Amino acid sequence: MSSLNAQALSVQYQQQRLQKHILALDTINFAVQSNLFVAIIGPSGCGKSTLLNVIAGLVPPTSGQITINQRVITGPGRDRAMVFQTAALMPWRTVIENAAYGLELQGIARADAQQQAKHYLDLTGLNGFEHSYPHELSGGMQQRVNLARALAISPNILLLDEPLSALDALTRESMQLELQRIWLQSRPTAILVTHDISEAIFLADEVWVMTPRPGQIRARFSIQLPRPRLISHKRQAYFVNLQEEIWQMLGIN
Amino acid sequence: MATIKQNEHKILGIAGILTFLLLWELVYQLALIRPIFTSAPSRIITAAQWLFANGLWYDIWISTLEFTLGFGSAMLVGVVGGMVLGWNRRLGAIFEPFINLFNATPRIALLPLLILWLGIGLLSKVAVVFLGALFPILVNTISGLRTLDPSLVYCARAFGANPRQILLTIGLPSAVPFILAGMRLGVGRGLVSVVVAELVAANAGVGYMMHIAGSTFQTDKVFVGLFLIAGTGYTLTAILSTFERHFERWRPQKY
Ligand SMILES: Nc1ncnc2c1ncn2[C@@H]1O[C@H](COP(=O)(O)OP(=O)(O)OP(=O)(O)O)[C@@H](O)[C@H]1O
Ligand SMILES: [Mg+2]
Repeated sequence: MSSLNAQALSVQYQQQRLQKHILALDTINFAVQSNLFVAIIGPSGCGKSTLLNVIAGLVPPTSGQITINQRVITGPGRDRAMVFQTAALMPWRTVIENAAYGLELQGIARADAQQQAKHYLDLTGLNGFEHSYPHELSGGMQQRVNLARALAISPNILLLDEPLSALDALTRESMQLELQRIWLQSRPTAILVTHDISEAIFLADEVWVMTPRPGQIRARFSIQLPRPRLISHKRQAYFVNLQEEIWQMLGIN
Repeated sequence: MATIKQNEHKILGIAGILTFLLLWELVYQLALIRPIFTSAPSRIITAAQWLFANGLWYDIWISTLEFTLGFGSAMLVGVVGGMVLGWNRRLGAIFEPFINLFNATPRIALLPLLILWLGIGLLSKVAVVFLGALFPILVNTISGLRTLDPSLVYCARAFGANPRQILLTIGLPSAVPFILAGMRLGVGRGLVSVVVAELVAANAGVGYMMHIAGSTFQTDKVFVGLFLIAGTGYTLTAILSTFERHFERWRPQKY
């Protein structure tokens, strides 16, 4: 399994058209041990997606570095999988072909890849839609295919960029339970970006609150709730108080 | 009832054509037109029967061969070349001026040169079909590969795809509709090329047959050639449309 460390990580974007520099992440440090579930909360545009992209190896740091098991990230790798903020499904592939994409890229035979993908489609509640095309699914279902595609490659590090934001409140809670169950089975190191404080507390071992851009980690909350957690835990005093504390930290109250 | 309704479009189309042919035959039978200029359906059928018994198959074979060889090589070069030039931006930049220049020139204008170089036989026709069909296919393949959805490329890279895998799993499928549209244009251009080339200078082929018939006032035979060409163009386009429907089955239905 994989531990994750950031040392003085900064990312600056150049917007060439506007001749502008944007500092998205500002000297961030953290250490995430193996099998930990971290949730990140912060205002829009503070650099959450950027942080995930750096861990995925898609965006190079401007300075500083991130290491996985003490090895510096230089590019994408099979040990990591990303659930994108927008579903990013191939419109010409059926649901199961999309879900099997990551495995296919690893050279796994089509039939085996699809069989493995099928398992995760069932887990995410897409049974019966294997042969539909993405445009025939609702936004929430597309997002679940996106999730199944990432889970199917059994990553050591699972990066989740607002994976449940397209779902209605009810489906969202049941998907939170599913996500916890799936995560408990294989326990990858997980980094979840979300705008939903209760979702962050419910799923994570640690909740990080980020400052507005340039993004820094303002506070970290350790969540002391036994697993598997239940939706009813969301009404406990401990949970509600924590939620209130995080609200305050975000400066919204 | 339901089937009649579904096929209404087709039935009306066929009825239109039949009515036209009947009227044509009628004005001919009533001697309202001069058959030496306009022919008539019954005369065209008679001429066709005679032609098929007297060497038309050979002309058809020659024209088919010219078209198939020219169009086939245009497909091969257009798709493979288009993928290389669309994927490799440097190579694309080098070849772009040549392609645009060629594309802006009517390729038929090259016919005198091609005949000079390759003679009036098969080769000059293959070359002119090739040049006619190549550019729409090439240009479309290139633009197909240059308009990829960046979020898909991003996703592929996140899952560790190498450039070759990105080309095969995202580049090629995205380019398919462009390639098919290019082929449809190419079929039209190729047919025009083969017929015009045979009309101008040839020693066999459907266009050649029409040229000879026309210059000896055998109007009925000219019409036989005309219908052959029209039928071929229609059939090829229909086949391509079937292909397009197959490859586009994932697209949302239009309402
Ligand atoms: N490719 C890019 N080029 C230039 N600037 C970018 C790029 N991607 C992001 N940015 C800028 O970096 C900042 C952080 O963006 P990022 O997408 O990481 O925010 P976020 O925290 O994920 O926001 P949200 O919650 O709205 O998804 C933004 O101000 C954005 O304008
Ligand atoms: Mg984001």
